[in-house]
Amino acid sequence: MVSAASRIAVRTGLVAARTLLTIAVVATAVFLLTEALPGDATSGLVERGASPAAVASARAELGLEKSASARLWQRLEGLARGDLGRTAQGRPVSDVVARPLRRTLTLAGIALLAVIVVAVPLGAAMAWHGARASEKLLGAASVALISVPEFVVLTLLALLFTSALGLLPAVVVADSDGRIDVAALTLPALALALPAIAWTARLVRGAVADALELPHVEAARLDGLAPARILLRHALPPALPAIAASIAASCAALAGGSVVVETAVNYPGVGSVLTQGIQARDVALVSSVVVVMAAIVAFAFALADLVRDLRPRATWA
Amino acid sequence: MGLKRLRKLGALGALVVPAIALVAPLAAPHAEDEVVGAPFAAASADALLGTDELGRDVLSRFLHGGDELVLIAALAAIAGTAVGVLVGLGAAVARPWIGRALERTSEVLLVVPALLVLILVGTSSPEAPPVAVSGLLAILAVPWVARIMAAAARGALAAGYVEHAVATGESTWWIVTRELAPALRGTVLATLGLRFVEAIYLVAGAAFLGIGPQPPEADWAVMVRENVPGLLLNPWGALAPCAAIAVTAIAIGLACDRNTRRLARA
Repeated sequence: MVSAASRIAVRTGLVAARTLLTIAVVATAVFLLTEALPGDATSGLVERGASPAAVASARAELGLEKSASARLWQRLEGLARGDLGRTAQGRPVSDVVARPLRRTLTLAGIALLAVIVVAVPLGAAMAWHGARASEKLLGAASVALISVPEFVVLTLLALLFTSALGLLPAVVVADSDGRIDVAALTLPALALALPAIAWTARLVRGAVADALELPHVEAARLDGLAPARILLRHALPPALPAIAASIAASCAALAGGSVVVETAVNYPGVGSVLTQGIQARDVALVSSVVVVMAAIVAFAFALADLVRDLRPRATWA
Repeated sequence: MGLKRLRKLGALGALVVPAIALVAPLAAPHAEDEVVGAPFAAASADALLGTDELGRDVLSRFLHGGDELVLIAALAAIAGTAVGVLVGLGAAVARPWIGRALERTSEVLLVVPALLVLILVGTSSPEAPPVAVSGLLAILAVPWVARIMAAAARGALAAGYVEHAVATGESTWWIVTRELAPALRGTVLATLGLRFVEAIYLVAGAAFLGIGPQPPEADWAVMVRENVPGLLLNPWGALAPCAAIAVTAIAIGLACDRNTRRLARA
């Protein structure tokens, strides 16, 4: 059908436009926030006792002499070309961030995979079994996990490993060449994934429970079809948009959490870039990292929106 | 397994645990920066939980380390919820366009991890007082709270009593504070609890990354970072503050769980 193809194109275009707008709004808000705060990109240089001439030349280099509106325009235009600006030391942010970002995406990607593989079946099973005691207890356990910061989960897991195995799990997971031992990522990925699994499983349970009440699913249940078949063929499709949205939301949680977990295990990802930025008071670097992470999360939400907008309709309307 | 009992325990803990954290510094046997022994020494009669990376008393630092975290988080939760409730209910009663603006704002906030905003502000203004952190977290919370409250108010608005109040010419402020907020107090309390848990999560995470309390100040999150390297020598250095953060957050999370479910359906 021609109309189906054009519908897909229009929907995709709309989602893409909304996502780009969101990223532009975030970049503008971050820019205005850094303008409103007392420090600027050269505060760190001043603190380290750089000469007034050096600070002035750094300011000129970074274009801080121009008006705020001119710099905001420059910033947005640069982002549109994929230019993330420069750090306070004058290095391109994209050079500083590229490799750490790949590592962070690796760690968060492993955690995300675990979230999808565990949370979706778990949530569906919780919805299927309804108000059983075990399900309630699982609910309470998930509240506990959701509430606790990832670095606390990580430390408690490390302690568990320590007392069970009598050795400290690898704390530094990159060797001097920057190569990563993927096996050493197990613990940080687990610490990231557990709270996200608890959170996502609850949302999946809600979505699937709602789907199970739809008339045609109820009918399939009464017909005595196998539970797996009912869940997969009938309950999961209508629940899919809500599940996709909750997975996108857990991407936001993983993005924030990975920064902390990486720092805890000395994993040289975006978290370490941020820690360096904090120590050097490099506002330019930190604000660029914030925009990049927001753009990645916005992309995840865009995918979830596409799942919602592009699902075929006639099958259960 | 009595889930009800568990939840009652949570409700009790939600009040008691933060209160303990606030008065605990008074019970500390040593000052937070006093060196009492060798680094990472095991527990002894002198230092009941052993010593930390610099030989300071873990128990004393543990007792000193929660007051600021709990206070910042509580202030942020209370301020953010109070403003959010007023804005959300006010928008529901009188200004529908504010409701739409809130939807858009929280859609944008959704993609920016709040921890990163906290890091950005902390990097730009490290001298900012702790109250400013509460203020920032409260501002970030307002769109969320307001959106939830606006949604929760839809049901109440259809009930006769609000229409009656509008018809008799009561002010929006009166309707919001005297009619709607009391009627929706379950949702308000659940939101307050959620905001508190979220604030603990954010303030502790930022402190762990070096934003906020600076050494030698005692802080649960900073203690975890300092004492993980000595996990094999004296586990209490990291375990005690971890347990404290976990218990504080879980107690409040459990206390508002039932209301949260109701809230999720709203």
